[in-house]
Amino acid sequence: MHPLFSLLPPLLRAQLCTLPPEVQTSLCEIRLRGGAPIYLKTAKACGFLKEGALASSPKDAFVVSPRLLKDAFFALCRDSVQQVEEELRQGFFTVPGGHRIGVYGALLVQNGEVRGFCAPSSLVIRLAHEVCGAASAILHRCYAGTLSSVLLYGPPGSGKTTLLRDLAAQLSAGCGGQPVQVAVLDERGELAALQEGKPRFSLGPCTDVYALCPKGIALEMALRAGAPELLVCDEIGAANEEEALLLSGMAAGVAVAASAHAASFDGLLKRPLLRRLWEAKIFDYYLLLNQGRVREIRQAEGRVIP
Amino acid sequence: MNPPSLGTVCGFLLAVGIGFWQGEVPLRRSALLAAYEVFLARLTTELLYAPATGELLASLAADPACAPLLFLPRCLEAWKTLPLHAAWEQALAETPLPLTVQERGWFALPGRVLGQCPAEEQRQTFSRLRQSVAQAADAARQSALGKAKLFRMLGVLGGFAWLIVWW
Repeated sequence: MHPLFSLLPPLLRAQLCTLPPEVQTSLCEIRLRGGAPIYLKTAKACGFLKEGALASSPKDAFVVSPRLLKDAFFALCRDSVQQVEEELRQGFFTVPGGHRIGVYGALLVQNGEVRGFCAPSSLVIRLAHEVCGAASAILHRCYAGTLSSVLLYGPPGSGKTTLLRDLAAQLSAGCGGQPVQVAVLDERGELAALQEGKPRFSLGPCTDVYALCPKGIALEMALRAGAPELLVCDEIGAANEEEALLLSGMAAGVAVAASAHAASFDGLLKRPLLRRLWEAKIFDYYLLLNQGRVREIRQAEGRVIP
Repeated sequence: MNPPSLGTVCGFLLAVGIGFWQGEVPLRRSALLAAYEVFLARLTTELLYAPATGELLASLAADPACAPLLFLPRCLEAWKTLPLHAAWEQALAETPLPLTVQERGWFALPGRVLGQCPAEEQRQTFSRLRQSVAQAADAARQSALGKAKLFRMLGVLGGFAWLIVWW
């Protein structure tokens, strides 16, 4: 049984356990909607859950009742909304194992600020994966002899986090030469998924983790405390001045491997912070990802490398 | 004068026993409400630090000041297989509580609120609830001793009445 299933209510768990083990382990996404069938996505296929298989038609598929959806929401946050309310304001929270739970529903807004959810109407469970060797291609092209700064970008679900994780693991293990001292700034608890002080995912022998801390603060602490050679952080791009300044300040010494949401290089440059970072030439390489693969590599100036 | 029969002595003891047993009810109710007030006060304070609900309930269940709240350990046990709201309801239903209907409603409320909304909302709800419980606990404390004495006395008097009639 996939470890995430143990967090779900028994009825949902029983439904998902009807899937063959190989499908369970390759699950990428589970979409639960109140009054609708369960929609599943694996690396190779997608469809509605029907009698232990993926069906293209929702007819006769198991339907998630609104009550069951609510139970699933509270079970996933272990009946502790107070622990995830800050994350929920951004529309998601992370559960042990680094899996991300996106939440849709009626929002509670006060003075223009999201305070929480009145009732969830859908849950999008994105399962974290560890793919050993996923970053091998990047290592050969971007880390041959030098420690470069790279920005991985792509649409949601393109494999940015998986690749960043493997990049940290491989460099930390000395796959590109000498072992690199890596500091992972895991603001959302997805990159390392710390459990009792130990990363759930393999991040290599020379990796230190700051978890569940705003990137700006963690960055400052990592630079002061650990003298890292490479900083790894997920999903930069929020209009956060502190983050931008700190990232710019790092240009002198420490390499950075980060990820950002953007479907294209032009889209990337439309985001103010990312544009500033590009103008400051913080990153040596920009890598466009799609479906877990590197589709395009650009140099700091924006020129595509053939 | 003949000694009293075994039945007469048993009747006397039964009446006295019932009086003392009934005398314990207001004392237990008072202790229960006082413990619940402490529970709500600690809950309101602890929620400032947004702890996990499981850890919070476990620490409160182990707190000697909350010992009269026998439904707490039962709720933690039931929570392993049920959602929290259902576990809370089940634990309350399984625990005999000498409470009025309104007080039962107060005891049921955390099951529907704890861990189900942002911390500040929970704190406000528990803070308001605590005020009502504090008033009821005060009133219960003041009347508990008097009622306990009355029930015990009635038990003893009933026992003597039984002796007079049957001896």
